[in-house]
Amino acid sequence: MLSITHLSKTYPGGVRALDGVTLDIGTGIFGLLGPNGAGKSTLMRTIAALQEPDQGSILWDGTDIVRYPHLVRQVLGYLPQDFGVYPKISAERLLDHMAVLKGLRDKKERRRQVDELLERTNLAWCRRQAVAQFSGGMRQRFGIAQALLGDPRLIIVDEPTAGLDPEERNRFHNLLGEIGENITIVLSTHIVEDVRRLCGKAAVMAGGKVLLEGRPDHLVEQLQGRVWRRSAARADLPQWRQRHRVLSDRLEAGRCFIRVLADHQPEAGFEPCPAHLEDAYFAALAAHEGEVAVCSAT
Amino acid sequence: MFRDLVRFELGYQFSQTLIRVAVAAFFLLGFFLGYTLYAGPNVYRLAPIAIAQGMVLLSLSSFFGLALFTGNAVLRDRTHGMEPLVHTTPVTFFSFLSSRLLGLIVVVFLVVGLAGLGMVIGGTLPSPHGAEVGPLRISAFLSAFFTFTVPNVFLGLSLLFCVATLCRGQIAVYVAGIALFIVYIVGSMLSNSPVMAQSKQLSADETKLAVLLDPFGVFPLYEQVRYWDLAAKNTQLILLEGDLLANRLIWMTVSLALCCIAYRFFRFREAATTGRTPAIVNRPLAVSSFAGLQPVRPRFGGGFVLRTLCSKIAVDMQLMVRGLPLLLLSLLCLFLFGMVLTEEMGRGDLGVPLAARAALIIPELQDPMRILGPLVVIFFTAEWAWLEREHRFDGIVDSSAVPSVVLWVAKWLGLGCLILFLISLAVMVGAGYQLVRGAGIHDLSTYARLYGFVGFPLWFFAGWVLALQNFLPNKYLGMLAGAGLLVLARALRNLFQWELSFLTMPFFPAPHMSEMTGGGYGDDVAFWGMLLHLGAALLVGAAALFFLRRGHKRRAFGVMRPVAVLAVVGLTALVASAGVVFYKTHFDMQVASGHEIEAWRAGYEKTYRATADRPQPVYRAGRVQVDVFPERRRYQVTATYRFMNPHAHALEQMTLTTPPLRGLRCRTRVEGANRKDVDSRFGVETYVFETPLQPGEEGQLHFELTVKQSGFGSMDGEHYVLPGGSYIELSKFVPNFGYLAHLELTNDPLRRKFGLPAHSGWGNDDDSDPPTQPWFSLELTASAPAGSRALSLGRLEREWESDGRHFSTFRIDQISSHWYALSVGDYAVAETTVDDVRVAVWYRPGHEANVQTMLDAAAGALSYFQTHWGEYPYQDLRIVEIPAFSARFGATSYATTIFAVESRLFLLDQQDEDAFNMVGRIVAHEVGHQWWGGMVNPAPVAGYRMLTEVLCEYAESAVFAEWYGWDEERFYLDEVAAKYFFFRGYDAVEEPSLHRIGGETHPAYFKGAHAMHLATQFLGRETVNQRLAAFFEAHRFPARPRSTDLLAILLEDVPTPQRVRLEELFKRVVTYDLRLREANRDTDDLVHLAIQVEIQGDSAENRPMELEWIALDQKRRPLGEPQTVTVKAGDTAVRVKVPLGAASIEVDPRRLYLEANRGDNRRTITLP
Repeated sequence: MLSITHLSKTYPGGVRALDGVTLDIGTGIFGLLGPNGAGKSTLMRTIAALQEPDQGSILWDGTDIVRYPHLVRQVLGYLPQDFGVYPKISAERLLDHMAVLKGLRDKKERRRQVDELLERTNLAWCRRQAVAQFSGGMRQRFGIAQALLGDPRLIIVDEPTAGLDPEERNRFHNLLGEIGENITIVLSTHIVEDVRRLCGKAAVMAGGKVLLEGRPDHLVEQLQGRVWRRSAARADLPQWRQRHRVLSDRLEAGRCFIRVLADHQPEAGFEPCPAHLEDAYFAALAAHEGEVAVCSAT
Repeated sequence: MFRDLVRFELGYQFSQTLIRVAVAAFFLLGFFLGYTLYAGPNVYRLAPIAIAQGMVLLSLSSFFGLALFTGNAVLRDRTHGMEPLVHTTPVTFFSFLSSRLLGLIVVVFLVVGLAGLGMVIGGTLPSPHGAEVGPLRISAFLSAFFTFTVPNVFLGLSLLFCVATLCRGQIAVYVAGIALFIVYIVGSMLSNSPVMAQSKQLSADETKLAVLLDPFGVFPLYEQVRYWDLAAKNTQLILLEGDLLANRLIWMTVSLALCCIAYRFFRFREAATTGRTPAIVNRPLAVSSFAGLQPVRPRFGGGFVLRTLCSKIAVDMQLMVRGLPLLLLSLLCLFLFGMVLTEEMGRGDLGVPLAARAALIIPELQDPMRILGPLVVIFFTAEWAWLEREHRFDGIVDSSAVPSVVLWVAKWLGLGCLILFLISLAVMVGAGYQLVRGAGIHDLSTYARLYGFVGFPLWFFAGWVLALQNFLPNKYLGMLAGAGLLVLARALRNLFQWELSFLTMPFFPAPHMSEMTGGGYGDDVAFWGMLLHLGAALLVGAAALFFLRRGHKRRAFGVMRPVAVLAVVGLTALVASAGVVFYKTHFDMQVASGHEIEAWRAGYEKTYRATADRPQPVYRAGRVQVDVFPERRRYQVTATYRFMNPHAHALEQMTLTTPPLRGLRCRTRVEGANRKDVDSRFGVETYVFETPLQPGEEGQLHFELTVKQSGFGSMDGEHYVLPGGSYIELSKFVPNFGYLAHLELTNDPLRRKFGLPAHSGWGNDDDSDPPTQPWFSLELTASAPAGSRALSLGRLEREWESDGRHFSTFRIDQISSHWYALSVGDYAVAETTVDDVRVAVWYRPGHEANVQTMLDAAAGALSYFQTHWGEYPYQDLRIVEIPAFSARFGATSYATTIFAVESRLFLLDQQDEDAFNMVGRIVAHEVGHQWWGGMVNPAPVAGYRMLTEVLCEYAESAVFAEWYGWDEERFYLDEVAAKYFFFRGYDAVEEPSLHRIGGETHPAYFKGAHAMHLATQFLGRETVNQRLAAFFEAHRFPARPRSTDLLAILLEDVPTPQRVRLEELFKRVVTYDLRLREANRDTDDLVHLAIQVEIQGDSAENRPMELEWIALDQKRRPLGEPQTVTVKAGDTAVRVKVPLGAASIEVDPRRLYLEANRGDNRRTITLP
C-alpha cells in the first residue's frame, strides 16, 4: 500500500511541480493522467526515491520512504519515461547486471529469470546484441524486463507506450495487466484510453495537483447523461466555446464534432451521447483551469 | 547566415559557466606561471628565454582547456540530442563548421590571452627566492606569445577540432589531448629541455630533423639558445628566424591542413559505428503473457554489496575500456614509454647505454607517468563520473536497490583498474625493453614499486577528482576543478615553500632507487605519505558519498554507515600518519627542511664568517670506531683525534664545529682544555687550553657522534645509511676546526635573499699561503651487521665477527688531508695485483658485468701513472660500489679507495666492444686523483681544480690514447666540447679561466680536457708526461701548489705561437667558430676554400692563425696528413692542392680549436 500525503515540490526557478498531492494507491494498476507538465513524472521520481519532496510524506506499507529510500528501492521496478542504455553491452549482460543491482545474488536463479524475461519479452533471439541497437519497441520491452527483475512489489512506469506502434502498445498493455494483478503498478500516461483499459483506479493531475481520483468507471458514471454532441464548423468553434462548456472537438470522417458538458440539452442540434473517461478527464482539467480544454485529434 | 551563426555561437559559448570559470582559472594559471618563471640560476625571471619557456608551458596547459572547450563546442549537439535537428537544416558544412571553429578560436584565444596577461602581472612580482626579476619588456611577452603560444594553441585546437568533428566522441578528444602532451614530452626529452630530467643531446643529423618536426617549437627554441651565455639569456629576444621560423610555418600549415581535413570528411549523417541507429530489425512481442513468471526474491544481506560492486565495476570497465580511444591511448603510452627508455637508457652519457635493469628503468618510467597520469585521471574520471547520466541510464540505476556506497566506490575502483592497466603497460614496456636488450627479466617483482609509487598516488588523486565531479553541475567544470587542484597544490607548495613532498597533489614518492638497497631512499616517507593521502581521499570520498548525487538528490539517506566507516577509516589513517610524520620529524629526530638548512647556513656564515682567519690546530691522526646499524638507519662514532698547532705561535683556544644537521648529535672532550662557549644552534664549541698549545705541540680530542636518519628531509647523496648500502663521507660530519667555509651558500640569489653579499668563491692568488698541513693518519674500525661489511681507506689490518656483527679495521698512515669516508654493503670482491699493489673491486653480487673492465682499467692506469709520473705509495687500490643515491657524482676518490656509484659505473652496459669505454675512462680518471688531488694537494685557492680535475682529464686521455687511439679520443673531445658549450649557458657568473677556476665543474672537466689535448698535440705526449712528473716531484704533499706552478713547468720553452694558443685555454676564455663555407674544385687537384673564423672572448689581437685541413675520400677517410693554411678572423680564401680521390675537405681535423659547432667544418668538394 502506497500512501502519499500532502506531497509538495517546487523546483529552483519557482515551478511548483507538486502541490499538496495526497493519494492512496493499493494493489493493481493505478493510472496517473495529466497533460504535459502536470507533475506526473515528478511524482513518479519522488516515489522512486530519485528526488526529495519539499513537504509531505510517502509511506510504503507504513514505512517512510522519503526518509528511508533504500527500502522502497528493494521492492521497486522502475521504467522511466525516457531512458537510454549503455552502448556496447548486450541485452543479456545488461539485464544480468541489473539483476545483480536488484539483489539477485544466486547466479542460477538470476540466469533463469533473465532467460525467462528475455523469452517473454521476445528478446531472447537478440540477447547477445547491444541494447543500444534495439528499436524503440524492443528497448521498451527491455525496460519492462528490467523493471520486473527480482520480485518487485511496486512498479512505476512513466509513459511507457510513447513511441510504440498500436500493436506493440496493445501487447505492452496486456503485459502490464497481467503483472498488475498482485502488485502495485503506478502508470503515468496522458493517453486516457490506456487508463480506461488498464487501471483499476486513476487520478487526474494538473498543475501539480490531483484534480480527480477514483475508479475509471465511477468517474465516467458521474458524467452519464451530461455529455452532448453535435457537428460544428471549425470556424464557429470559438463561438461554441463561449456559449458552452466544450469538452473536446474532434474530426470524424472529415467532419468536426464537439462534445459539451451540460445538465440539459444545450440547444437544438445537440444529441445526448455516452460519457467517456476522456470526458471526465477534460472536465476535470476545464474545472481546474477555469476554461474548457480543447483537444484536437485527427 | 554565417554571421548569424557566429553570433549565436559566441553568445552560446559566453553564456556557459565553464567558459566564465575557465577565464578566471586560466588567468590565475598565467599569474602562477609568471610568478614561477625560471630559466636557470641567475637568469632573470623576466628574461626572454624564461618568458618563452613560460609561454610554451602556457600553450601546453591550454591543451587541457582545449579538450574541454572543443567538446563543448563540437560535441554538444550529440550530448544534448540536437544532432537530428541541427543536421537536417539547410546550413552548409562550411557555415556550420567554420562558425563553430571561429567561436572556438575566439573563446580559446580570449582565455589564453588573459592567461598571458596574468603571466605578465605574476612575472613582475618580487621573487620569493631572491632571484632577480629583471626589466619588464612587453615585447618579450608579445614575441613569445605570438611565436609559441599562438601557433601551439592553434595546432592543438585544430587537431582536437578535427578529431571531435570526425570521431564525435569525447574520449577520442581526450586521447588526442593526451597525444599532444606525449608529443610535448618526447619533444622536450629530445631537445634537452630543462623540464625533463636527464635529457640527452641528439647528434647533429638527428637535430636537423627534430628541429623541424617538433610541433611545439621547443626543440628549435633550445637549439637557438643552446650556447647562449648568461648575458645573452638575460637580454636577447628569441628571434623568429631560421629553423624556428621554418618550424612555426610548418606547423601552422599542418594546423590549417587539419581544419581542411575536418571540413573535407565531416558529414551530417551519423557515423555507422555510433550505435545510436537501430541496427536490428524489430520482432514484435509474440508471447504476451507473464502468467507463471517466477519471481526471484532478492537478498540484501551480507555479500550483496560485494556482488553489486563487482558487477558495477565490470560493466563500467566494459563501457570505458572497450573501443578505439583506449586502444589509441594504450598505443600512445607504449610509444611514450618506449621512447623514454630508448632515449634515456639506450643513449646514456657519451652514447653508453645503462644496463636494462628494473631498478634503473623504474625511475625513468616514473617521470612521464607523473606528468601524464594526472591528465588521464582527470579525463577518464569525468567520463566515469557521468557515465549513467550521459547514457540516460541513471534513472534505472539510481532507483535500483544498489547501495549508494557501491555507486561511488565502484567508480573509484574502476579508475583504479584503469590506472593499474596503464601502469601494467609501462611494466610491459620495461620488461620488453629488458628482453630486447638481452638482459632477461630477473627482477620483475621490482616493478611492483611502479604500482605502489605511481598507481596509488594517482588513485588517491582520482578519489579527489571523482568527489569534485560529484559536487559540480557538469563534467567540464569538474575537469577544470581537477586541474585546478593540481595547480593549487603546486602553487601553495611554491608559495609557502613546503618541503615535505607529500604535501603535493598527487603525491609521488621520490623515484630514487638502488639495487644495492633493494628499494628507495625514502620508502618510509613514501609509506606514511601515501597513508596520509589515502586517509584524505577516504575522507573526501565520505563527504562525496554523504552528498552523493543520486537521482536529483544530493543527500543520500541510508548511507550513514558506509559514510561513517569511510570517514572513521580515513580520519584514522590521516591522523595516524600525520602523527607519525610529526613525531618522526620533530621528536624522533629533528628533520630540517631544505629552506631551514639554507637559513641555518646563512645564519652560520653571518655569525662566524668573521672568525674564519682565527688560527686553529690541525688534525694529525684519528682513531675512529664506527658502528653502523643500517636496519635502524643510524650509526655511532667513538673517536680519539690527535691534533697539533701548525702555527708559529701558541694557541690559547680553539673552535670545533659539528653542524647539528641531519639527525647528528655530538659530544666532545678535549684533554687539557675547557669548554668555554657552546653554540648549540650551529654546533660550535670553543675550548680554552689550560696551558696554551705551543707551536708543534699536540693535543687530544675525544668525541662521540650519533646519527639517526630517516627518509624525511632531503636526500644527501654523501651521507645515508640504509640496509644493503650505506655511504658516509664521515670526515665532513665529525668535529672540524674553525670556520667551515664549505657550509656557505654559493647561490647568489639565495645569498641576496638572506642578506649576504655575493659569494667570494675560492679566493685568489693573493691569498697568503695556507698553514702547513701535516700528513693525517687514520685507524678506522667499523662494524656492520653480519653478512655485510664496511670498507674504508687504507689497508685492511684485521677483520672478525663478534656478537653477530662484522668488524674491520683499516689503517692508513699518510693522507694529505683529513678526508675519509666509509661504505657498508653486502659485497663480493674481485682482485688483481699490479706492481705489488692489490687492486680490488668490491661490488654487490649480481653487478659483475663491468668488474673486469674496472680491474683492467685500474691496473692499466696505475701502471701507466707509476711509469710516467711517480710511485704509488700505498699497497692497496680498491674500488667500492655504493648505491645509486650518490648518482650526483660518478665516483669519488679518496686515498687508496674509490667509491663508485652503481648506476654510473656498475650498471652501465658495456657489452658492445665498439662502444665508448665509459667505465674504464671514469676509473682511469679516479685513479689519476690518487696523484692529482691525493699526493698532490693543491692550495685551496682559485685554480685548485686545474691541478685536480684538469689533470685527471689528461690522465684518462693519456691512458685511453694508448689503448684506443685517436678515433675514440676525437669522439670524446667532440662530446666534451658540446657539453662545455651547453653548460656554460647556465653559468651563474662570468666564466673564469682554467688557471683561476674555483667550484665550477664544466670548464674544469670539459674545457680542461681540450686544453690538455692541445698541450699534448703541441708538446707531444712524452713531453707532457715528463713535465707532469717534474711537477709531481716538485710539488707533492706537503707542498700546496697553485695552478701557476703547473703552468710554469708545462709552458716552459714552448714556442710563442703555441704558447699563445695554450695560454688562451689556460689563462683566458677564448672560443672559436670555424666554418668552411666553400670547397670548390678549380682544377683536378686544386680546390678553392672559403674559410670563416669567428673568435669570441678575450683573445689576443687579430693575428694570423695556423689552421689545419685534411682531404677525405668518399667514405670520409683521411687522405694523407693534415695540411696547414694561414687564416685570420673573418673570411679567408685560399687555394689548396688536394690528393687524388678527395671528396670533401675538413678543417681542424685534430680539434685544435675549441668550438661549439663542428658540423660546418667539413664540406663536400663541388664544381664551381
